[in-house]
Amino acid sequence: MKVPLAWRILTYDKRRTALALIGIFMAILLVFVELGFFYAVPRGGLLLYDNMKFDLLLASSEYEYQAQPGAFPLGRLDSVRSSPDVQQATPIYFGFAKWKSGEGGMWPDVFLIGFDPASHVFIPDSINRQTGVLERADMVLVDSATRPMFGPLDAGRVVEIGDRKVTIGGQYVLGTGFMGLGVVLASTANFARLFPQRGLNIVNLAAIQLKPGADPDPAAENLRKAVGPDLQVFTRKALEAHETAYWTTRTSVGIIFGSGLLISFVVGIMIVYQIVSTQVGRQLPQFATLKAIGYPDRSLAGTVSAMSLLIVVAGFVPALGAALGLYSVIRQETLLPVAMSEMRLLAVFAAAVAMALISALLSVGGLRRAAPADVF
Amino acid sequence: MCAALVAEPAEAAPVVRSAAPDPAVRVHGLNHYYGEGEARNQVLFGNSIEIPAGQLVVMTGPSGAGKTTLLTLIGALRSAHEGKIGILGRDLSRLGAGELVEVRREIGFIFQMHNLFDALSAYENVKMAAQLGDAAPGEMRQRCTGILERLGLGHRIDYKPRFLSGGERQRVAIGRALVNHPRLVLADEPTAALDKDSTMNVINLLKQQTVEHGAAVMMVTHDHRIIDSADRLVHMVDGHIMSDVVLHDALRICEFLRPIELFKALTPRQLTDVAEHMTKRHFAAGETIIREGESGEEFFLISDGEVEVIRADHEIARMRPGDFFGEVALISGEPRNATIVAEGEVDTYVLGKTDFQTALATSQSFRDQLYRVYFMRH
Amino acid sequence: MARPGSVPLAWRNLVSNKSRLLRSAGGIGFAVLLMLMQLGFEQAFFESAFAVIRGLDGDILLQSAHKYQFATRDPFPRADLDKARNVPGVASARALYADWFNFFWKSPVDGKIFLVRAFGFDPEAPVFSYADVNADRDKLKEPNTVLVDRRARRFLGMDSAATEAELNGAKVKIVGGFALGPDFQSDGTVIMSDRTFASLLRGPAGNPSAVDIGVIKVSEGNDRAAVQQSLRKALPDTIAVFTKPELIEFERKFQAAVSSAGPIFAMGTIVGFVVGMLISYQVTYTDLADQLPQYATLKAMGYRTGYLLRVVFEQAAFNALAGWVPALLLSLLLYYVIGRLALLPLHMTAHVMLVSLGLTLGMCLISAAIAVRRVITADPAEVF
Repeated sequence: MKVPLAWRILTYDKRRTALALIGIFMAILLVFVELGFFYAVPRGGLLLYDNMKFDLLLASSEYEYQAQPGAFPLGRLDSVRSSPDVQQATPIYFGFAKWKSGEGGMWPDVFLIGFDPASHVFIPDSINRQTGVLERADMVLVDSATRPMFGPLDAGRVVEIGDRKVTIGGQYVLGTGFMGLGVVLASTANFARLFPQRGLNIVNLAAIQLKPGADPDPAAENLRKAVGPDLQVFTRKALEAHETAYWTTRTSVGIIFGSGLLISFVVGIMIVYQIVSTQVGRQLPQFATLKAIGYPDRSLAGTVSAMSLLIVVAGFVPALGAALGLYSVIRQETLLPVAMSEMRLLAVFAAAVAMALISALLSVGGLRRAAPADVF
Repeated sequence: MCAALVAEPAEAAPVVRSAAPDPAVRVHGLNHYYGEGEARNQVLFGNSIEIPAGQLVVMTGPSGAGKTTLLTLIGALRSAHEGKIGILGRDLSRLGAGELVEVRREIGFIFQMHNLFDALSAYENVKMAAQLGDAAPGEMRQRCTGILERLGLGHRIDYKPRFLSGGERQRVAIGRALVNHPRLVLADEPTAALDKDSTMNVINLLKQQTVEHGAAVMMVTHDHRIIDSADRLVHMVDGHIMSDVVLHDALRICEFLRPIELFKALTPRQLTDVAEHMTKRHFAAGETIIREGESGEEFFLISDGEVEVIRADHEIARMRPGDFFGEVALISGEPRNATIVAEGEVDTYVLGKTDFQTALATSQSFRDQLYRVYFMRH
Repeated sequence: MARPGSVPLAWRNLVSNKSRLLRSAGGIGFAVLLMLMQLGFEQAFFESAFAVIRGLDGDILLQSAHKYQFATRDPFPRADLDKARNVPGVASARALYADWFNFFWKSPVDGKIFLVRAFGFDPEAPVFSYADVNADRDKLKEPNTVLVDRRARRFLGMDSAATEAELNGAKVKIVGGFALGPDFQSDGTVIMSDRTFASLLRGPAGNPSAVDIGVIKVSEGNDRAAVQQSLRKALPDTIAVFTKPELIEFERKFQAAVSSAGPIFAMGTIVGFVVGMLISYQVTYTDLADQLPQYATLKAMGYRTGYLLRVVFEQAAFNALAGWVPALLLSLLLYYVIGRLALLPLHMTAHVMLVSLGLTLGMCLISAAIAVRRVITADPAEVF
């Protein structure tokens, strides 16, 4: 086996290597964190959809994103239901109202979702178990992630929402995402009572379940033809793409986390470059001697690359571990769904390798200064 | 002494030269400069030198004489500005970058600064050179530990430079240079940091390389202990090769020539001159040294082995060490009057025609002696 | 110990090796840049929440006591504003009508519909200090006229040359523009007269004549705090009386409590700080190692350890500045570029400058303190 020169150089100079490892650990960790945020934001925007059962989603053609869905008449669902692929079409109602029972006399805005509990259109057990609760008059369920500002969320507590007094029938577990600081689930009947001026004729979304075995894409096409141009039909994939595109292009999210990512990337390159170029510079005569002995330039470049990669890989593993830990802390503190995915892991690893190679490239220039003739 | 043996003059015969391998180093007309434009400074002036395999050459001279520059050019570490450099049979100016790197692998460099990697043990530092060679892994280990033991570092093989003395570090560097038994060794003050015993050890090792592996060694040094071991001494001053003396051969030849009647008449100075201009040549058994009828360009003096003198296809005489032949053609201009064939392995000292004639010119007594012999032979 | 006129050792050390200075300044500089970007984003996030509040032309602001954040419509009865007008010390009490969720703008460029923030006021009783709004307020007297935010997100099409658009289904005439910019809640803003506001307001927003913010100006010579007290006494408990700074503080507390922005940007700042500390430690340690003989010699000459420590810390401080200044300049450029691209209010403020400078000096001095143990133990005898 050949002498592991890169490994030896790094392990001999423990102090510098340790510093570089800490630095690269932090840079990669930050890349993980920024990337996590970058993807968490649209993921947060998809929170509700991720917890709804549907193959296709029907919305107004003015649907912007989940918080701005537009609206369409309930009657339009008839043509939907008569479509051969459609098994069930559940209307969903969204509304905002003042929660007049907040802490300190505050009236925070609460986001209300009206639906037919019997449809079981939501996935969480905590919702489906309490169907009976929802169907009682003037009784609602409150999301457990609703902020403390709303006051206690105990079952039985009577609160004033809009102009109506309702009783909290219980809590459910889903998450408020970007819907608001507090979210309430109500049956369609209760929703109508809460929004008397609106009634149930104006629907925001319709969750469509297809017959078993039906392929979403062609079914969507058929449905589009059936419903006309003022409505749009989303497959799950299309919906995800749409929401993600909204968050990354229409808001500052992309720029904020993207710039953080970029700077972390550059910082990472600099940290690796710092140690590799220092080791090269410190041992220029030795490298020049290797050249004199008969090592081709590319072999020395290989040693430099090996040093860069070793630092990066050694920093990557603890950074990954720390990122997982940090993700769970972030999830708890910010309620943003920051999570690890295979793709992201690989992407960060690829970025780390890129950091290494770019630093190596920059350091190789220093190697050129190792002139074997000058060693004499 | 040898006079009685040769009877008749022979016709001219062309000289047969034995095939000699490519010299390790062949430098011709080397000029080198430092600086650019107006500030350009010439540091080497038309240097020419040929170093055969197995020769230990020591280069001396004041600092700034250009010795190190010459070394770097021969080592293919710099490219020559003007002139030709041939290393181990390859013309450096014709080689591409990749081929130059290959040439460097055949050369063992010993620098003044050991330049060891402080992160590597002595063994590993040597292995960095060994792994460029073609040895199998098992053999590589052997070579590395072997050379370190040979240099007296057997108990320090796994130590890093931090734990080695200055002399020990230099010995590791020497080990690194020699582990692949390179055919050419270029050394710059290799023993400066070493004590007397280590120095002798290193010199012996270098000599061993020349003898056992036919390595040519070029060494810049001021260490007098080494100069005594050199085969050849090259003295440079201000970029010129002022003298280039093959020591031992010259000394040995002198010793050899002195008792010979022909050369007795020469002053030590003249004798040394003649000796310096003689080159050693070897003939294999049965090889024809000169052929009857060829023209004569050289004078031969046997130092080892025996030859048969043949005329008209039958042996008329034999010659032994100390005998000489070939002078007739050089004196009279006639073709060779006999064929001389090496009996077994034969070593001779050869004097070219010009040098022979110069010797004749400078020493009356040498000429007189020679003519006496010549006429006696006739 | 160093007297005036004595050799500025730290400075000389710093500038003697240009390439090393460049590398250390570059390393520290990038860490500082990371911190500056994070601090800038955090600052932009909060600033954008206060931007409109700052733009209100008043000393005291009234709002419903249960209004929990600025960006929500939670109006109070007109009558209460009238009551406020009669309080001694009040020069003017004007109404701002506002809504964030019920005005839908149809882009004159591509006809797409977007939610926008809407403000209304009586053109005779201006509430904003924005010059461009006040310049055109008379034009708003005509019904269904609006001023649009030229710096709104481009997809709203408010920066086009169009003179007509649709708001909540009704045709409106665009009679002017102002430059406000989006925030994290709204993509753009329209400003109109109170009448237009009332007529276009949709949805379950309640009484359109109810006032969202009461903008009070205190008369000359009156103490603001005293007038605030008087207002509190005169008005019912259902009205909260804030000075402008107090309302901004109220909003800041709310944002800090509910949004994730704080932790998110804090994380990036911390990483920048730690990385900067590492780089600075490396720089100081190397400098010290290189100059150990010189320091030991100084000790042998009779300089006290205290002097040497001072030199080390001075050098660390210089290194910090050498990294901070270029990072600051670069961040100014980035703030401008990103600010324009993302329509974020990324501005360099004294606060950001001070915090970043403090963090930079802190990280360099702390790391120097760790590295400096070598100098303290430098043995003069070792030099010889």
